[in-house]
Amino acid sequence: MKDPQKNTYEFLSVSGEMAELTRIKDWSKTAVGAIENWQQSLRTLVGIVLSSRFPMFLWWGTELTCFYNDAYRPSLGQNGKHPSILGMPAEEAWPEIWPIIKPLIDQVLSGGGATWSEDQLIPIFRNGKIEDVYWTFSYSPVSDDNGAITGVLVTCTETTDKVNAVKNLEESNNQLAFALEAAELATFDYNPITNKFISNQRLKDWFGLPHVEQIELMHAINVIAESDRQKVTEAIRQSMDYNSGGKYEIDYTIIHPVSKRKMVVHAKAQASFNEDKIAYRLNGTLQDITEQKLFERELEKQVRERTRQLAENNLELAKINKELQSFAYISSHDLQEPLRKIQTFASRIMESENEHLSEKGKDLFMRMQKSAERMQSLIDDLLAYSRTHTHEGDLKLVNLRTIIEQVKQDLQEEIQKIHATVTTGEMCEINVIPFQLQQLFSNLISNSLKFANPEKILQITINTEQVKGSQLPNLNLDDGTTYCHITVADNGIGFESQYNEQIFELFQRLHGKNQYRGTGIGLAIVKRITENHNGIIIASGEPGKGATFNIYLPL
Amino acid sequence: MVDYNIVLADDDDDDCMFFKDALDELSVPACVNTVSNGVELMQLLECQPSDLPDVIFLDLNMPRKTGFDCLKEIKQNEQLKQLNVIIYSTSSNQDMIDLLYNNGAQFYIRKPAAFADLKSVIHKAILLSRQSRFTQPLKDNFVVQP
Repeated sequence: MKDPQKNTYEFLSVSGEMAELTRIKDWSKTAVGAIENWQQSLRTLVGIVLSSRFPMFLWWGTELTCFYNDAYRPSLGQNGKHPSILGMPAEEAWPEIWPIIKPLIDQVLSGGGATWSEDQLIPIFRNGKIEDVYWTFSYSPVSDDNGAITGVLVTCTETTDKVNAVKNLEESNNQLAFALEAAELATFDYNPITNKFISNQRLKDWFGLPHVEQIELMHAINVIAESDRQKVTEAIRQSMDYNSGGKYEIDYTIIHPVSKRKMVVHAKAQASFNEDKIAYRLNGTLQDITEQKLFERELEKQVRERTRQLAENNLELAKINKELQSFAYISSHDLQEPLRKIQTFASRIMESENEHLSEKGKDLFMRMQKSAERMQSLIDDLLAYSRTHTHEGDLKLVNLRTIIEQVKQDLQEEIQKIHATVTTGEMCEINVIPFQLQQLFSNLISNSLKFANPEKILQITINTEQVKGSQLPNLNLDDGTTYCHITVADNGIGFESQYNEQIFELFQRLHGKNQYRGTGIGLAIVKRITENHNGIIIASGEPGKGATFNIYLPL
Repeated sequence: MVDYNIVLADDDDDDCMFFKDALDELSVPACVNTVSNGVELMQLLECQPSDLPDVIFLDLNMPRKTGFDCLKEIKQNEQLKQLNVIIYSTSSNQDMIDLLYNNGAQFYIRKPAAFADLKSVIHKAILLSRQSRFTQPLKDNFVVQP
């Protein structure tokens, strides 16, 4: 350790890291020798360098020994030359750039005067690697006490950031140009004060404008289709208003002055305002949307056409539906008349001419009457079915118990005949078409009575409960709606579950006509009525155990 | 019992025959006059205002003028509106039945299939009509069952 007293010279008394390093360095081992032997000129120079806050560097003496200050230090980076090059010969300190700087140093030392270099690339080793560093610097000659040029004073500033910024700007300009090109955008920059604008070549081509730098706005406006002209000038005027936020966005058609080709453009721009809220600039882009507009128009046309067709089809469908309904009604109604007469004639013969018939004739006659009866019930059921198409009667709030009691009364005879019981539990109040619901329960109870198990006393149980649609996710019900869930269950002969949908189809029967009477319309009516009330019906059954009908009607 | 004066308006020959046969077998002392459409019926009623029938059995589905039109004309005519009109039809449409009741028909008969029923329902209707002359029954009793 050297005696710190030894280097307490006034020119080294400035504060800072480099002053400290210079003070404690053992200069006797360098070409410039111990500090006490330094010439006054060197002391002055080192003092200037260390006290300056401008980046400075000094090469001095026969080996061009290195000195530098705190301001220069950042240029050497981390893990680089600092602080090892302090007191080192120049050639040893800067081997990587020696070929670049040697000629400059020589020029200065040989009396050629100071050098000036601006934004010069001088790659140096710092931050653990060779970096591209840009400098603006000057090499100045400095003399010893005798006036001989003995060293080179370097004042420099690193301009890497500035050079990179310029480079980046160029880069982004290129990218912008590329983007404009790729997007096939036209650009404009309008000055409301001069009423002129500048634009890219594409815009001039589109508008058929002269290839000059500044173009009068009116020249462009005149190219716009007359029907659109006013709305464009109005949009520009509005964007110039500070309160509008300066937004300008509009679609319009232009007509090329020479080729007369029409083109639809989408313009988008932003106005800039000065402190007095006066617009001084409106710049933006134009996009060719001709194809898009044509496509949109074509699409709109097609949608209109389809909508019209759909409306026509719906009308046609409604007409056909109505015709079908009235056909079903009228045909079944008119069919009744001759049928009734056949039955009346038959009954007359059976009454008054019975003794003239043989046993065989009587049997055949009875069969004929049975057929007529069957046709009668078919027609009656068909009529009932066709009536469920229409919403005859308004919805009325009724307690289902009232309806079921009425049905029980109507079917009393048949219920008593087989000693069946009909039990009802809790009953909902619900808005329904009463006569249709009466028909529904009548058909379901009749169905149970018909398919009673001969070995058991028939028990029919009817219950209702309120359920939320969301509680029955598998049934495709409306989540937000509350339903009245009606259950009609019996302990009759049941059916195999594979038929749980088929039984609701018109004229579908699971049993022979001689086994069980029926037209195959009853359950179809039940389903139709359920659907009329926006409800659903599900049947389940087990042979020998019974059948259950679950109906969900919205409350 | 004096002869009961009945007019039957029905365009169907078979139905007219059934009706007369039924009356014959019932041995009700009645005389039946038949007309085969609404126009004929109205002419008959308007030409003999002094000799009006005791009851009219009126079919609905008739050519030229329907039974429903006749009913309305009769009930709007000061001289005829006291007439007892019994509807005699194949239809069982509840809306139509309600409409007929509201327009002043006295009873409603749905033509039955069995002749025995036909006799029974005609007999009932004549007796009812006689008892409640010029008045309409309660709606629940409007349709006469065999």
